[in-house]
Parts: sequence; C-alpha cells; structure tokens
Amino acid sequence: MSGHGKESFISRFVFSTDHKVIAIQYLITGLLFLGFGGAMALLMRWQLAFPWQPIPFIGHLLFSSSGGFLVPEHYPMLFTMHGSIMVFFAITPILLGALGNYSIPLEIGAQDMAFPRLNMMSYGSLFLGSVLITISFFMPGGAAGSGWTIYTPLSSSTTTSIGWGQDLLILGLALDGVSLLMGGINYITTIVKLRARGMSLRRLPLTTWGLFFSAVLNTVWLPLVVAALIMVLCDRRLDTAFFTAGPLAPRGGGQALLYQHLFWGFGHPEVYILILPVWGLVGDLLSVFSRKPAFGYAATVISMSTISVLSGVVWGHHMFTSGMNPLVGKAFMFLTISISIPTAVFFLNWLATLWRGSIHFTTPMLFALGVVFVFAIGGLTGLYNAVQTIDVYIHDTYVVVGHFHYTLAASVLFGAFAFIYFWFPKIFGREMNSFLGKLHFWLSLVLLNAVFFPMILVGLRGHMRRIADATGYTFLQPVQNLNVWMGWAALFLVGSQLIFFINFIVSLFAGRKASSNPWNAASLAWTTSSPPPPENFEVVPSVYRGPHEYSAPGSGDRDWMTQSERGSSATTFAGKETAVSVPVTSGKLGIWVFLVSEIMLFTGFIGSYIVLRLGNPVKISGLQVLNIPLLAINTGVLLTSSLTMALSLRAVQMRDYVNLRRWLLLTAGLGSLFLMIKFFDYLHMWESGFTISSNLFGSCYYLLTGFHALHVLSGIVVILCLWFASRKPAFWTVAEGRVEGSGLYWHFIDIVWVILFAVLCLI
Amino acid sequence: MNGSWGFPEGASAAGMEIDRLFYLAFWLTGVCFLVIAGVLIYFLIKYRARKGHSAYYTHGSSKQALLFTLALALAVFVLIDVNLAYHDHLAWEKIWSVPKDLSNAVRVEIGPKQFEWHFRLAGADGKFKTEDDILSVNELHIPVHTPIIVALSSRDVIHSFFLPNFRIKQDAVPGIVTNLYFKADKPGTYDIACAEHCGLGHYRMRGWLVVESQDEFNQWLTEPLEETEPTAEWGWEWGARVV
Ligand code: HEM
Ligand SMILES: [Cu+2]
Ligand SMILES: [Cu+2]
Repeated sequence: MSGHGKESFISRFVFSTDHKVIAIQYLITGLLFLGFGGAMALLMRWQLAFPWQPIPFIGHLLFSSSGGFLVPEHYPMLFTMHGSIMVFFAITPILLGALGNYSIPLEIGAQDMAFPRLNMMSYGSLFLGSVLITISFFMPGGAAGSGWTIYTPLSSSTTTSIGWGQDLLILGLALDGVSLLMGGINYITTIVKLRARGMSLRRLPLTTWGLFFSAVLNTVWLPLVVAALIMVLCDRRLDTAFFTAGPLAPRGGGQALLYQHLFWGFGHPEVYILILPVWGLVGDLLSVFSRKPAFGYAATVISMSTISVLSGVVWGHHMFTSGMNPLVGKAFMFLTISISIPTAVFFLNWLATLWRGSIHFTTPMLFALGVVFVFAIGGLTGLYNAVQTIDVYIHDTYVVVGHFHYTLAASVLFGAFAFIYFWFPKIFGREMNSFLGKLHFWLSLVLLNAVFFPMILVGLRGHMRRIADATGYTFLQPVQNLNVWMGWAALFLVGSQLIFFINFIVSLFAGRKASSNPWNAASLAWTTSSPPPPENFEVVPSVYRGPHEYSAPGSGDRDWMTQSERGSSATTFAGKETAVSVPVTSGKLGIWVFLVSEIMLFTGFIGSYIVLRLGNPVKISGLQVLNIPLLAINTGVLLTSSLTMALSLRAVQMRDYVNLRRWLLLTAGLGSLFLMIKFFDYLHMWESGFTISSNLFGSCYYLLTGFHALHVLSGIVVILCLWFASRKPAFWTVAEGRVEGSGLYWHFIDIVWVILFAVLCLI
Repeated sequence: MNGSWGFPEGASAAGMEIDRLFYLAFWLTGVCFLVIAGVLIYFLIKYRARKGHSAYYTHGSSKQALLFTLALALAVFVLIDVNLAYHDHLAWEKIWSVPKDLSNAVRVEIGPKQFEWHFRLAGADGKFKTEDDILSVNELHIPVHTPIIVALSSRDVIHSFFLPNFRIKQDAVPGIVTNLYFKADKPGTYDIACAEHCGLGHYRMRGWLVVESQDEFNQWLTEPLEETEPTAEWGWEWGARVV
C-alpha cells in the first residue's frame, strides 16, 4: 500500500491513474448515459404509439413550449441522441472503458496499464465529450437531428441542420474517438507487453482476446470516421463542400456518398468492436459456470480474428440502395454472409462448452446464456439485411432497427450486465443480490423480445425507420396496434431496469462482503483480494496453465485450478510457457500503434482528396495554383529536420547529451521555420483570392496542409518538452526511448508532407 | 404469398420474388434458430448442476472436434451462404433486368426536395426539359403492365423513393443520378414513402402512385399541370446509364 495511503479524495478518485479507479469512472458514466438513453427511447415509443398526444406526467416539464407533446423537430433529435448516446456514451464506456480497464491488467497479471497517465487522459477525453453532448440539448435549435449516422448533406449543411447541436455532437464524438484511441494504445500495448511470466497467448482469457481485437479494430478504423466528421464540420462552418452536393452546394465538387463510405468503413467494424468483448466474456462465463474448460479455445480465437478482418471489408452492405453497382453489391453481400461461418463456430463452441457440464445458473451465467439466445436472433436476422434483393425492401425499415437492437441493445447490453454482475464483487468487494439479479434477467429477457421482435414484424410490413408517425400511410394502418404494444412493452422494459439500478446502488453500500473468489473462477483476477490492492497483486503471479481449468481430473477437493498455482504437472493443460519477451519496448510499441491510427487518419483525408478530385469535372491543377518553389524549399526544410532528428537519436545513443540538446533545438527550429514559411504561403494565397471556400481544390489544400501543420506544431511541442526535460540528469535513463519515439513521430510527419506535396501537385 | 407476415399487398410480380426469397431465408434461419435454441435448452436442463455429477473435462481441441468444426463451417457455407447468394442472383436477374423491348416504356424523372416528391414525364415529344413536360407533385400515374424507367436525383438532401407494395426503394442522392426499373401488375393506388431520413418532415414525405389502364393514363397526361415551376430548374441529361 506504500504511497497510496495518504492521497486526497481528488487525486484518488478524480485524477487517478489506477486502472481500477478509471474503470469505475467509465462504468458510472456509462450507466448514467444508459438511463438517459433509455428515457429517450420511451419518449420515442410514446410518440409512435400515440402520435402528437400530450405526454403524461412529464410532458409539461420537458416540452412546456409546445404544450406537453413532441413537435416534428423533436423526434429526429430523440433518435439521433438516443442512438449516439447508447452506442458511444453508454455501451462503449461500459464494455471497452470499464470491462477493458478493469479486467485486462488483472487477468494478465500486470500491476497497471502500460501508460497509466494516458489512461487517465483517455477518460478525461470521454468526459469532455459527454459534457459537450449534454450541453447540446440546451443549444438554441436543440440537439443534433441527422441520425447517429450523421449522413451528409443533411448534416453538413447549416440550412438543413440548423444550430450548434450538430457541431457539438460531432465534437463530442471526436473526443470520444480520441479517448478510444488512447484506450486502444493502452490495451494493445498492455496485452502484448505486460503479461505475467508464463501468460502465453494461449493462456489469455477469451475476454482479453475479445478486448484485444476490438482495440485493434478501433485503432485501425476509428480514424476514418474522425476524418469524415472533421470534413463535415468544415462543410458546416468553413463553407467548404466536401460532402455537400447538388443545389445545396452552389460551387459543386462534393460527393454525398463519399461520406457514407467513410462512415461505414468505421461503422460496420464498430458493431464488432462492441460485440467482440461480449463474445469473449460469454466464452469465459459459460466455462466458469459449467465448470468445464471453454470448448475449442483456439477455434474461438481464430474465429475472432477472422471476423475482425472480415469486418473491415463489408461496409458496402449498408449502401445497397444508394446507387451502387449491383456487381459490387454482390461482392459485399457475399463477404457479409460469409461472416456466418466464424459465427457458427462461436455457437458450436458455446453449446459444446455446456455439453456435459455442470451448469450453475448464477446471475452472470443467466445473462451469458441470454446473450447466446438473443444473439442467435440478432445474428440470423442479419442475414436478411445482407442479401441484396431482400435488403432493397427492408433497408431503412424497422427490420433493421429490430436487428440491431437484438445485437446491440439485447446482446451487447446483456454482455454489459453479465460483466457487471460477474465483476461487481471484485470491483467493489461486495456481492449483488442474486434474487434481484435473476428477476432483472427474466424480466429483461421477456420484455426485450416483446419490444424488439415486433420491430421486425412492423418492419416487414414496410414501416420506415426514423419516422415520427406511421398513421398517415395506408400500408401501415395494420401496424399501429403493434406500435401501441411496443410502447407499453418498452415502458415495462425500461422500468424493469430500475431493479438493476436499485440492486447496484444498495449492494454498493449494503451488499454482503465478497470473498476474493466468489465464483470459484480460475483466472488470475480471482487470486487477489476483492477489491484488489492498488498494485493488484501482493506478489506478481506466475502462470502455469490456461484460464479454464475446471473439473480437471486430480485437482483435489476443489474443481478448479487457478492459473497461478503450481500443481502437479499431470493436471497442467499443455500450452507453451513463454517468458514475455517481445523485442520492442512498451513505449515504442505504443508509438507504433498510435502511428497506425495516424496513418489511417491521413488515409481518410488523402483518400477523400483523391476521390473528390477525380470525380470533379472542374480540373484545377495544383501546379498552376500553388507556389511550387516555396513549397519545395519548405520540403527541404522539413527533410533537413528529419536529419537533425536522426542525429539527436545518435547523440543520445552515444550518451552525448550536449549534442542531443543541440540537435533537438535545431529540429524544433527547423519545424518552426517550416510553419513560418507555411504561414506566409497561406497568407499570400488567401490574399490573392484562393481561400478555403474558393473551390474544391482550395478546400482540400487548406484542410490537408492545415491538418499537417497542426501535426508539425504538436511535434515541435513534444520536442521542446524533451529539450526541457533533458536538462535534468534524471531524464537520461529514459532519454533514448523518448527520443526514439518522438523521432518516429517526427519522421512520420515528414513522410506525410512528402506524400501530400506529391499528391497535391499530381492529382 | 401475402402470408402470415403481413407484407403489404403486392403489386408486381417482381416484388413477389422478394417475398419468395424472404421465405427461403426464413426457413433457413428458422431451422438454425430452432437447432440453437433447442440444443441450448436441452443442455441447460440435462446438464444442470446436481449432486454427484461433475463436469466432463475436455478442451475440445481433439482432432474429432476440429473436424466437426470444419464440417459445420462447410455446411453453413454451402447450405446457407452459397444457397442464399445463388437465389439472390436468380431473383436479382428477374427483378432488375430491364427488358430488351422498351418501345412502350414510360420514363420518369424524380427530383425530390425536402418533404415533397416532384415527378416529371417527358410529354408528347418524348424529350425531357422541353415545354410540354408533365410535372406533378406527390402524385404519379403510371400505366399497368408497362416498364417504368426512373431516374432520380435529389434537389437537397438524400431521400429514398420507396414503394412498399413493390418491395423496392432507390435513394435519390444530390449530385448524381440513380436509376430504378419496375413494372406494375395490379391497378390501384399505392403509397410512396421516403425511406431515408431527410429532416423533420421525413415522416410526412408521402406520395401516391396510381396504377391505371393505358387509357386512363393518357387521360391523366392531358390534365392541366398542378406544378408550375420552370422546368429548367431541375432535371438532367439522360445519360448512358439510363436505357
Ligand atoms: C430500452 C430499450 C430500447 C428501446 C425501447 C429502443 C427504441 C428505439 C427506437 C424507437 C429507435 C428509433 C427507431 C427509429 O425511429 O428509426 C431506436 C433507435 C436506435 N437505438 Fe434504441 N432502443 C432501446 C435501447 C437501445 C440500446 C441499449 C442501444 C445500444 C446500443 C440502442 C441503439 C439504437 C440505435 C443505434 C438507434 C438508431 C438511431 C438512429 O436511427 O439514428 N437502443 N431505439
Ligand atoms: Cu455493417
Ligand atoms: Cu425522408
């Protein structure tokens, strides 16, 4: 406990770098937003059941200006904010933020995340984001209303999305994205580098595997949508036209569908980002509570990785009706439905884990089994959406809404509950009430189906999604009674979640004290006390076997063996023991993961530039507009700075700190010179009438080079920080790693510039 | 085949193909679901924890388990994936292949803008963007049993032209022209809906499609125009992609 005893409340619970505290921050944030999103769902269901009727009890409080009922402006805000909040501020913080942060170090036998301060900043960024979207409800014009997909040009024109709600939602999502990227860097680095001795990859719990893949998907795909959202913001506020086309964009050149490609390039992986940890968790929980090893561990992990890869190449199934070439559509269809193969392997392994087990129906087990059941429906209904001809009918109807509520609001949410019920004793040192837990499960299971299955039914009758009132359509006359039914069922569903919240809060203060291993589980987290000490383990454990050693013959009077007990070798499941020796430092690995996401960010920008330019009939050549000699000189300046950066690394390797400081300063100076030249270049062009809104090329030029300049600026800041730090001898022990990492970033920035320069001149 | 799921009344033979494909998918996924749910419930009852019974220790990493997994993967691939893709292909050919003989086809331009459907037919001269174009808002008449060839482009945000009774929809995107082909087989008045969220009036962006005999249609063409906006404001060249 050394050093942890005397901290103030603030530094212990607010600005903590302890992954366990940060996990709790994520958990509470996610639960608050879950309640918020649920309330919005109720308002929507009320509106659909009884269109334009005053809302009982709370109507006058919420919508006093209209007399207690919704007006047409409100409904889009409700589904937009419900969707965005549920996905990005409720489910994601609970599963990636809380489950990821809490479980990863404990399950792999680490003392904390690889970068604890980055971890703290990651939550801070999410927190800022959630403040922004909360404020957005109170802006003039109200919250955003263009759907959680933020489709352009509806979202990108201020004539169709008025007010600042849309901008705040975008900024909030961007901050959430930054938070996820920082989290991803931590998760990947921690899992690769900080495993305890003997924790080979084949001995990782499946939850950890799921979190690992989802962090990888986040790192790779999230930057695409961040790039797209930044361009939407430019369209809104800087008068560019990247995604605005047709009569809304008088100067032309933009492409509305480009946004959809970028959005779904991330959006489809996103659903796997959320479900992968749940799949892993279900695999682990079925094993714990069947008292049997997880069946087909390797096949499960291989399926996870297959799906991770496939998820990146199927985005087009969201765009079958957008005017896509049918042949391309067929390819997307086939790739999409082939996801059913690895998915089938999951189901096989889950059922086979239960087979001949000894099944204990604890609350977390019920929720895990619930995931198997509702994900069967969610996964199978996905096939309909993937088949092109069927999708042309059901696209943008309630079939889709029903399908993704089965996968997200049923499967992922059940996964979140399974996580909370299972980990609660470890996190808070107290047990949750199991009667209330089971009641919560059964009510949720029945009511979920009572809400979400009718969604599919009304969808098959053609009920469009995102409409505030179905009663105006002849073909929708028969669905209104189902809409009323869903209204009541949703009320009871949301109401029944109160049982959970009450259980949670009461158990927090009055629950029975939990032992260190209340579930008789075998993974490392359950070998330490509940709650664990700040450094997680009294003694850093060594790992001797896989995470699922239940009912092994010869394990004595207990039916499990924890991963860290030595035991006789006869009962030890094979699986190579590895001392952890990955030949890069944590710092360097972290930088590389970061660079991958940076590369994807610039891929988003540069790729958009190429697509937009090639599609634009107005041909302006960069060679005519740009001041090529000046830019060439500037390129020289930047390349020289790469050289000085390399020299500073050499200096640090030779322990020559005097020259190190010299070269660092020179690098920063050259970087600043680059920015100065850039500034004059901008100034000159702007004054001669070539502005960000002159034409498509202008918009792209300022966006791309402006973003690059921001990177140069941050690079300079990093180098100056190094320079300051290098005055103190204490720095010298870590100097080489720091300089090398900053150097990688700096070289990356220079390479990006060379590519930008070439692309701007040639295309 | 309007069946128990209560699809909207079908108005085209092509639409019925989609219903058929739906039922195929329904049986395939239904069987999968029953197998999963059945096995799940059976195992839960059979292997519930009881005194004196302990779990069977296996990692499922044996050769048999591996073979079983591969066999399942293959079965899913062939019976579901390939099967669906094949039938999708057949249905697609029937629904979307534009007939060779288009001498009597009717061409329609659709230029929606927020919360209204704007239609334009070429008029007697068969050419768009001329004086005798026929304009109509929210109401489109078409002759029965006649190929209808549609070109869409939005005049503001994205909308989606949705004919539930025909089981088809096509987005209208600003800046590009998209196409749609269909044929009505049953006279009547059907809903036109917008399927893509286009703003606060999305829910009421409703139109009517009137399918009638050739004579009635010809009669409609001669009725005075409701819309008077200048035709030059919208419309486009019928490009190579439009037959
Ligand atoms: C308490 C149960 C819930 C109910 C009754 C419910 C209901 C609804 C309704 C009525 C819509 C609007 C559909 C439309 O008009 O098109 C909607 C949209 C949506 N919901 Fe839920 N929902 C629930 C929980 C969740 C959860 C837990 C998630 C989590 C991930 C979620 C994610 C979404 C998303 C992404 C949308 C789409 C928003 C959009 O169209 O832009 N929902 N939900
Ligand atoms: Cu998708
Ligand atoms: Cu619409």
